[in-house]
Amino acid sequence: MSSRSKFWSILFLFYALCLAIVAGVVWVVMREMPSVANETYYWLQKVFVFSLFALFCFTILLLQIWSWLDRVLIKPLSHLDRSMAIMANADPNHQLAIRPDHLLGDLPAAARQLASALFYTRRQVKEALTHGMDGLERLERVIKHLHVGLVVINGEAGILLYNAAAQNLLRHRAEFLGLGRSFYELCARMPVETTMTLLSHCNNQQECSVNNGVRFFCAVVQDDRMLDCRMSLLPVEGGKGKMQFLITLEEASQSMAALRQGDLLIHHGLENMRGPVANLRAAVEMLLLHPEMEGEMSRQFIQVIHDEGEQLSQRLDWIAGEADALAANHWLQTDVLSTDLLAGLQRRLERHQDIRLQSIGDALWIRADAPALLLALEKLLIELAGYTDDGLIEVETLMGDRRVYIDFIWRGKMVPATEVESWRSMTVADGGLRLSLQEILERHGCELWSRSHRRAGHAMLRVPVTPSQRQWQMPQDEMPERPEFYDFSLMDSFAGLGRMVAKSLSTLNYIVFDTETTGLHPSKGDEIISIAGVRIVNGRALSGEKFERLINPGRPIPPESTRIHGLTDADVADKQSIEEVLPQFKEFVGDSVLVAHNAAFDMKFLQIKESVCGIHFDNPVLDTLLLSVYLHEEVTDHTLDAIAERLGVVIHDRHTAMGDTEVTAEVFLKLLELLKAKGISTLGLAMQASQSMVQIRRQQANANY
Amino acid sequence: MVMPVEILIVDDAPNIVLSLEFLMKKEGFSVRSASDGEEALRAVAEKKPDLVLLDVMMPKRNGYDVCEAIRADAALQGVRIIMLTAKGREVEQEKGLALGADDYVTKPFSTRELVVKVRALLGLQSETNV
Repeated sequence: MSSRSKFWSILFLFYALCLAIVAGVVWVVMREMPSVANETYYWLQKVFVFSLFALFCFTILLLQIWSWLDRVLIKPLSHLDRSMAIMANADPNHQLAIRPDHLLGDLPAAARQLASALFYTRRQVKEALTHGMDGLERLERVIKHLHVGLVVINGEAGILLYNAAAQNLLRHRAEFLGLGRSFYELCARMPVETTMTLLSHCNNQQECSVNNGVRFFCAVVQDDRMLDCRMSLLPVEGGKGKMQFLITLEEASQSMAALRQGDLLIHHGLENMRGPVANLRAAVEMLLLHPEMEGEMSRQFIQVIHDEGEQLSQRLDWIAGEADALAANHWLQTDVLSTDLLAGLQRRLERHQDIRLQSIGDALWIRADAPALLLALEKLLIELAGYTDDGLIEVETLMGDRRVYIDFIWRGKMVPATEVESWRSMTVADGGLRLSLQEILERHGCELWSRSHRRAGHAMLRVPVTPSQRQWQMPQDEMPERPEFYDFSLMDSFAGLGRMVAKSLSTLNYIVFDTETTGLHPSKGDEIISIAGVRIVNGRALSGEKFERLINPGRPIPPESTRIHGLTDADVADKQSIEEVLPQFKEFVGDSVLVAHNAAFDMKFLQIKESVCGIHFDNPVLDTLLLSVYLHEEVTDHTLDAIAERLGVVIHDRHTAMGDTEVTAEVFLKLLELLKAKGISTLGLAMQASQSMVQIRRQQANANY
Repeated sequence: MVMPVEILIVDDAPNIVLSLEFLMKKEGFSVRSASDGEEALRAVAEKKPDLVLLDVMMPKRNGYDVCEAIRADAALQGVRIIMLTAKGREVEQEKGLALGADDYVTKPFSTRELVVKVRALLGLQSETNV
């Protein structure tokens, strides 16, 4: 009941009471009537009639005054009440629409001043915050651009933070990577859980061997890739039960394969050599120790020596091949673009004024330990400078059959092989790094030689290096920029799943969604043709975690529905069916609370498809329409547009699933604030409040028809 | 009278020189040997061979160096060079060929294969029964 109705009800009761008292007095008087004298009776009758008339006039007057008071005092008061709530919680620029002849005196003006003061204070706070957040932002940038994948999870493996590198590593499971989602949907549960247990145990022990983090390998769910992970316990205030774990992730498939290959090589390589060597020795010893051996016998032993020698050669070749392959995957080597390498070389050569480097040729991917290779090339160029006529060295990168050639070309004589060979023993040093050229070249499977160049008077030094596999790979799709990767405040509030109703509204995860359909009657064959959702975590709509699909409804779209959402049969002809899309949507939703405007409508469309899709939406549901009714009972217009306008939400792309979803999400966030101000703090209370509104809404609907 | 084919074997490992000398003599070639780069260059200057079996890893001047020196000498045109080496990587073969070697054999090798290569380079018919 609104305060206005309450006020008038009390006043009316008071009036009724007065009336009853008067009626009572009259009744008593009338009963006593026969006992009084005629004259008095006549006089009393007159008084009675006059009183009735006076009462009638008084009532009329009273009603007039009341209606006037209602207009100029009570209604404006109630409007002010509502407006102030909106100004305080949702839209500080909300305009007061109070009639000018109100009796509130300076109250509306004061309210306006208060609102504007609030607005400025908030802005200042925001500015101060922005200022203060500068440092944090820088930290965010660091995390975002960190090359190592980073994930922070809580004790229940709920994701609290992730960075772009983690997103890239887990790109095949992108739909499962989201704030509040379970890390187990991304990585095999066992190693993660075991490590967490180990670390929590360690936390209790104060001192233990795993303080610096525990390394473990972990398979990506439904993927054949392995991740090299290191988990450590984050110090969190609040102690027990609020543990958080920092996990760094790196792709391990390649290095694991190399490790395995290396093990295999040493193990099998040695094993395979022992046999032939043993046989060889035995046969030779037999021949040496027994020169008297018969011709046939000795011929057999010689055959053995021949065969085993051949075996040994083959196995050696195999080991050599494997070792080369391993060397190419050396852990120190990464993919480098030749142009980047040469640019680095150019920078290093700036110190040497007698050498000018000019780069020609394509940008090619090579596999190299870039710092070491740079040092080696720099050293080589310094030596080369003596052979040039003019100090100018051109460098050309060429793609050969199996190798990338880095050719240094200059006008002048070629370098004699003796000289080139002697360069190999030179050492280069940079800080703590001290290596011989020989070592660097060998590590890169690299050689070098000088020849005369096809251009007359020119010579060249060729350095063949190993190309990177990336040369032949399709460029990877750039991951879309996601603005939100983390929510540090989640760290304090995130709790496990279950018993959701008791949870604070501000800590829950929501999926706000909307559907567009072929019509209004799912039970009569109307179908969903578009569904969109956006995730809300910790009071923020995450623009990076969105779901949007067009759906082929398997039936024609009626023109009258096309008029609303603009979607035609052609738009959805090549789209997936609801049977394919709805399970994806369910994955996206997870355990979150579902939010929609007029949710009953959308839920009906979802639920009717549950059995055919083999899923079940048992999530709690909140309805922005019902919440709005609860908050602004007096107002009858609760369309999305009306609420948005009331709460100062800008409307865009209305009647597209995503457009409506975004508006609904913003509206929902504002409603959450208003609910909080009204003391509705948990999911249970909000659902209860909505439920009570269903009844009122029905009444309103009935009144309209 | 046909001049016998001159082969120079250059290797610092006497064991392999022993085998190669025997093998080449059996083929009917005239054989000399040298045990390092400098000795090889002296031997080449002394008398121009038809073919050099040249090891890469040797003390003093290595095989690449010798190869380049032979190729640089106009008086030694037409000398065939087969490099023998324990360096098995393709890039090293490529380097050998780039510096002027005609062919390349990686240790360990089959003697039959070597003989085939030598005869092919010299433009001789391979004896099928070898």
